[in-house]
Amino acid sequence: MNRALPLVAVLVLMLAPAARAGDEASDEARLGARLAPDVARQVAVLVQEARAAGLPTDPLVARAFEGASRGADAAGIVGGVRRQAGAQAAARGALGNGSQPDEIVAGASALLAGVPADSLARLRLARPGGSLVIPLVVLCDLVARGVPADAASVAVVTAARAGATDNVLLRIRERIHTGIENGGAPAGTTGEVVRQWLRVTAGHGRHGEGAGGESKRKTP
Amino acid sequence: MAEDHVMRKNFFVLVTTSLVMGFSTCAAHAADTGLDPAAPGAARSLAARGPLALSAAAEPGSLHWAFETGVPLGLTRRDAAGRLRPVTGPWRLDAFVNAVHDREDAATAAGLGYALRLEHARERNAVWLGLSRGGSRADGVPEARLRLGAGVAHAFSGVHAEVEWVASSVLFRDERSRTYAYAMQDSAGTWVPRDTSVIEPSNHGAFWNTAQGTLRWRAGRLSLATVGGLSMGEGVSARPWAQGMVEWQLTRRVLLLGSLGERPAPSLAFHTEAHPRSMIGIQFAPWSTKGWAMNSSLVPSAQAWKTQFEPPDRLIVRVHLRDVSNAEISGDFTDWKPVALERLHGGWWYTVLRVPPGIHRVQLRLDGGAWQSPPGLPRADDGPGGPSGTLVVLGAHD
Repeated sequence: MNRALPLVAVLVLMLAPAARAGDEASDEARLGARLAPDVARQVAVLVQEARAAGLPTDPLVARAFEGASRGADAAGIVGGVRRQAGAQAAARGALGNGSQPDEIVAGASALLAGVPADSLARLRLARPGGSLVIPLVVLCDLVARGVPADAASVAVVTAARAGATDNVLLRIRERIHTGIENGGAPAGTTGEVVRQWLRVTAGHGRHGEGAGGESKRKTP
Repeated sequence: MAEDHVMRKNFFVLVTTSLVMGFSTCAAHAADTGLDPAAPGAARSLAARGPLALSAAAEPGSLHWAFETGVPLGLTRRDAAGRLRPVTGPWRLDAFVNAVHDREDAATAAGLGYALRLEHARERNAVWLGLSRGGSRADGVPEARLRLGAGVAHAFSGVHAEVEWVASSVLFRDERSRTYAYAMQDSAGTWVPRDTSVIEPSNHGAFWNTAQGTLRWRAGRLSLATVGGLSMGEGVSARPWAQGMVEWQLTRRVLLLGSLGERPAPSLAFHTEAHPRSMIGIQFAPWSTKGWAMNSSLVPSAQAWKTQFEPPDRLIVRVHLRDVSNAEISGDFTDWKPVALERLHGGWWYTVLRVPPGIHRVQLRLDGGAWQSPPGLPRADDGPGGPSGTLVVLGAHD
């Protein structure tokens, strides 16, 4: 077994560039099939740059296809891909180099929605060991529903710091939606729902319960 | 008795034929009729309402029901997407068979009626010309051999006005007494004048005319209408009449109706859903489209969203939709190409997609409208095509 290790390492080193070249060729073929040649070329350059920087590339290709399918012009498509790439780079910067690709994608969506980058960093500090995908998705959703980015960030970071699990965060989000749909002010409703959850969990003496019934506490 | 039997047999043959023809043409038609629901008369169009309508109404102590089936006779062609499109533009030709049963002729079989209606409908105007025969009639009302109807409708802002005229060739089936005078010779050889009376059937025709006007106001699912007219003809004195109607579109297929006042048989000849007297009723049209339902009352909407993930990359999507004829989904996992959802029962639609675990963006489109975020999913508004939902596939039920 030990003798085989160097051989495996050599094979991996030999095959890695080939796999990357395969990904590049595949992305370029997909882009060429759906986009005008000039647009496909510009998007491919951005995708290559992202790959070289170690950022996820599928969201960039998807963003280009989304623009094309919704009738955006060439500048709109390339601009959308560039914004996505920039947001992903900024998200990784805020969340840390060890972030998972899904966290980077979710973080990019949050940044594009107007969430400040330092909120992402505070979220990482609030949940250093756990995945930030759901907190970031919830954050992005609250902003899309009209909650000011600052208020949404404070709510999600506060809940995460208090040990809210993913399911609890999703239920908090549902309660906020209901409150907003019933005529509540987005910021006020968000603050009230989170405060209420904090009171209930403090009363129960166990974090993570109240909004969703989960009993497992995630300690920061 | 024999006449009743023949009528019943004819009725079932006609209904079966009409249903077969109606389903083959009209049901396919129903998905996209190309009709403007706001156009006057569009709600009555067979292409919009579908090949079958059942209505029942009641008043204290009696029940009135009507069954109507029909075939749109307009020519159609298939477009590039395989949908049937009318080639006759604003022209529509519909053939109807209806059976109406009323307390007034409760002892007989349902009155069978046939109608042919040619209609030319534009955005705000419609004219129609129709021929009708038979139909229900109350005791003492003469049989209508043929009715010729014509109408003009116009949509003003929020109000539809229609003027109609129906000429009926009616047949009076009555008896006439004839007296014959003659002379007989008595035993003395004298001629004595005598007479005798004989009762014999005497049928004679007459023309009756009915002129009527309708004003209809609609708001959402509610429609209020008033119809008034004058009936006159040979052998009868001119009679004014009026009726008020209220309709509530409960669902796309179900219409609740109420009426106050009376309207004569000629006025009902081309409106089988209408009531002869003050009644409360319901009409059910199982293959109706939104064009039949009241304008703007039925907005396509997505009610609920469910997914089930089956590793490694199979995602079953179920969406509960209301008042929708077709639905599509698209997302990064389809390279943003639209994928049609299949209709299940109870308003649920579904599709199975290849979606790897991860974070995805997804949108729904209902009846060709704007792309929207699926209900209940976290939303992101940063895309070029409007809000999209964020779908997190964790590798288990999400």
